Amino acid sequence: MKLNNVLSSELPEIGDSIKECINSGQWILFKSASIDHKRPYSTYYLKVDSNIFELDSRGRIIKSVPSGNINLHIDELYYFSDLPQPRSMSNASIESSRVFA
Amino acid sequence: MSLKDEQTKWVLFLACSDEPETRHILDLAFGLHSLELAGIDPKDIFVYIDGQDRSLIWQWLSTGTKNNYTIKQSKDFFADQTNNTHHNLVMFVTGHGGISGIDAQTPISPYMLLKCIKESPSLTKAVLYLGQCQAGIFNYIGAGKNFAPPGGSAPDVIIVGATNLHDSLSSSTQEQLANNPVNWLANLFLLHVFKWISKPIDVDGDGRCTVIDSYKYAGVMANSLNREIKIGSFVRSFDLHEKWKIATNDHAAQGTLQTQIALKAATSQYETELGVRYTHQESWILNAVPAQLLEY
Repeated sequence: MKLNNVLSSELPEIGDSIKECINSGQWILFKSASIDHKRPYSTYYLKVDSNIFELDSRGRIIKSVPSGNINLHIDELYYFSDLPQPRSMSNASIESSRVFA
Repeated sequence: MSLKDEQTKWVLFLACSDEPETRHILDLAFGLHSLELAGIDPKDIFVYIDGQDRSLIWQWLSTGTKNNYTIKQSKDFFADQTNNTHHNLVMFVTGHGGISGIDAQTPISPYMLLKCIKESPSLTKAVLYLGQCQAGIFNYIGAGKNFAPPGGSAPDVIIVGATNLHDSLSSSTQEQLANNPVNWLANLFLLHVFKWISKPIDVDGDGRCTVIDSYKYAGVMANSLNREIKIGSFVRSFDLHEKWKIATNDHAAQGTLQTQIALKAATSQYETELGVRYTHQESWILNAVPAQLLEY
């Protein structure tokens, strides 16, 4: 599973809340060769709980992908590099605990 | 002698009645990464995760390691324990929990798990870290070594719970795992237990790093972050409410797949913030006296 970063401007049709869900790790933005073998790495997919959605080149959600028959392999995982990402909770310091971010 | 020096079986455990959530697998991936950083031999680490998609489970778990592991299912843990040869067991449990116990095809009740451990041959000490919701139903049970069959012996079992009779707290984090930084909604208590194991701290100043130190450290860190998260949540919730209202109106007006998923995202973000605000977490430890003596 390879980690990649993408700019939000590369997928302008993805809504802000969806981008937040992706960067927080709640939802997964990825590419996979296991879903459409004819277009192995050209398509973005969004995993929302147990559902998978296909995105177009601008990030618009175009259809749901039937996942029952897929042996899903997440080849590339994406986060938005120009948007806030969570900080490391395991390295949080009590002494530097802040009320407001 | 310590847990890391003796014959100890280290267990990462995720049972579920359906497919495991990615965040729970990543809890264990961080655990695996932390145990390896602590110098624990991979041959002493055992992973039990339920679910049909074994390939996807391994993909997520392998973010925490460069070694290969065989991932068994939760029922295999109970079978394996009947042939146990380790002197000690340290077990980390994540996943869902409730009044019936740990979520699984057949929920794992407190006495089901305790009986399995108490009847494990060769076992003298066990430490269980329970991260699931309502872990407190595993409190106040016969864990001590005096709870043994007549004329027989039984291991001393120490149980540490992330929370009592409440939901447990998860929050977004980014952690450097084996190859890359990974973001997920982490169980905060377990995260800090694992962090402590990779870098032990003598919290109570007795000159030793013991199980009780791991409990105190994880509890203080989780509670401190809980307070900080709740305060930030109050501030963020105003903005999230507005975004949720806009997404609701957009979907009502357009009714497309795009607006449906956007509404789901706004709702998820909003509900997560509200849920954290009303999550009270107070960790606990059962059988604290041996925990003060058992070193890592």
